[in-house]
Amino acid sequence: MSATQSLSFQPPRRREVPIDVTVRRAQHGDPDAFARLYDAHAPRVHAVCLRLSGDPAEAAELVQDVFVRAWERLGSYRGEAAFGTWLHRLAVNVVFQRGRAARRRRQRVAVQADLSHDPPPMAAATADPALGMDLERALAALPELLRQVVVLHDVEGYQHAEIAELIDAPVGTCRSHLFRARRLLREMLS
Amino acid sequence: MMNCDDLDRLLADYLAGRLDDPTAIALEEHAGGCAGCAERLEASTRLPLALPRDVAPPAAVRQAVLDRITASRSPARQRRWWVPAAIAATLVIGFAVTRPASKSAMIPRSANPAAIAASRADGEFTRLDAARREIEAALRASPGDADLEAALARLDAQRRQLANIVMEFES
Repeated sequence: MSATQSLSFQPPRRREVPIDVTVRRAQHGDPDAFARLYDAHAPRVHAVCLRLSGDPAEAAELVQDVFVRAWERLGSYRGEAAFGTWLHRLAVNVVFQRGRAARRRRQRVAVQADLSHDPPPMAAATADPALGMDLERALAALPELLRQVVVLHDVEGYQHAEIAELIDAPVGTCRSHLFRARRLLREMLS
Repeated sequence: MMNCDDLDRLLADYLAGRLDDPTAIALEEHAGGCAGCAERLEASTRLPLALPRDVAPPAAVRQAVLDRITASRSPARQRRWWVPAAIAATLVIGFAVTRPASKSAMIPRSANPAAIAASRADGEFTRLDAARREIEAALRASPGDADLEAALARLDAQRRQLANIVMEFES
C-alpha cells in the first residue's frame, strides 16, 4: 500500500473553541461562553447530583446551584485542575453543604430525626418486582449516607479519606458504610 | 465484639447473604476498623457499578441557570468593582474564625485562611439558596407580591455581595 493510499479521507471537522478559551471568556463575563460550559458539563454534574441526592427534583435544583456557584467563583479558577474536575468537586461540595444545612434545619425544628441510618424505603424501590430493580433505582433506594458513600467510592472513584472528610466521620465508619451499602445493593439486585 | 478470626469464619456466609442483619453489621464494623479485613472485604464485595457518566438534566434547568447568572454581575466586573471588599473580607474572616464553631465546622488552626473563609461562605451560599427557593415557592403561590419580590431582590444582592467578597479574597 502506497503512502497516499494509506491516507484515508477525513471530512473537515467543525472547528470547536478549546475549553480553556471558553473558560477564560466566561471568566470575563461572557454568558454565551458560560452557556457553552453548561452544555458541555451539565450532564456530568447532573449525574453526580442525581446519584448523590437520589431524587430527580432535588438534583435539578442542585444543578442550578452548582452552576450559579460556578459562575460566582469562576474568578478563582486558575486552571490547576481540569475545569470539569473543578466543577465536579464544586458539585460534590454543594450537595454535601445542602445536606448538612437540611439536617441542621431538621434538628432545629425537631420535627424528625436524621433518617440517614433508617432502613431503605423498600416499598418504593420494589414497586415493580416483575421488572426487577436496576442499579440506578437500587442506589436511589439506599439510605442517604450509604448511597453517598458508595456513589463517591465505587462510581466516582473517591478515596475513603476524602469521603470521610465530606461526611464528617472517621475513615473506619466510612469503610463500614461502604460494605453495608454494597450488601444492601446486592440484596436489592438479586 | 468481632475479631479477625470471626470474620474469617463468617466471610463465606456474609458473601452469600446468609448472615442476619446484626451479625452482618458487626462484621462490617470490624472490617471498617481493621485494615487487613477491610482490604479483603473491599476486594470480595466489589460490585460492577457501570453507570453512564452523563445524565442530561431537564431542559428547563439550563434557562433557569442562565436567568440567574444574567441577573448577577459578571465575574470580571465583580473583580474590578470590589477591590475594597478585600477589607470587608478580612472582617468577615475575623468574625468567622473567632465566633464559636460547631463540632462539624471545626477547622485546624493551621488551615489556610482562604479555605476557612470559603468553607464559611459555602455554608452561607447554601442557606441563601434554600431561602431563595422558599421565596420562589411563595411567589408561585402569590404571583406579583411586591414584598416577596423585594425580599428576593434583597437576597440576590446579599448573595452577590458574598460572592464578591469571596472572589476578592481568593484572587
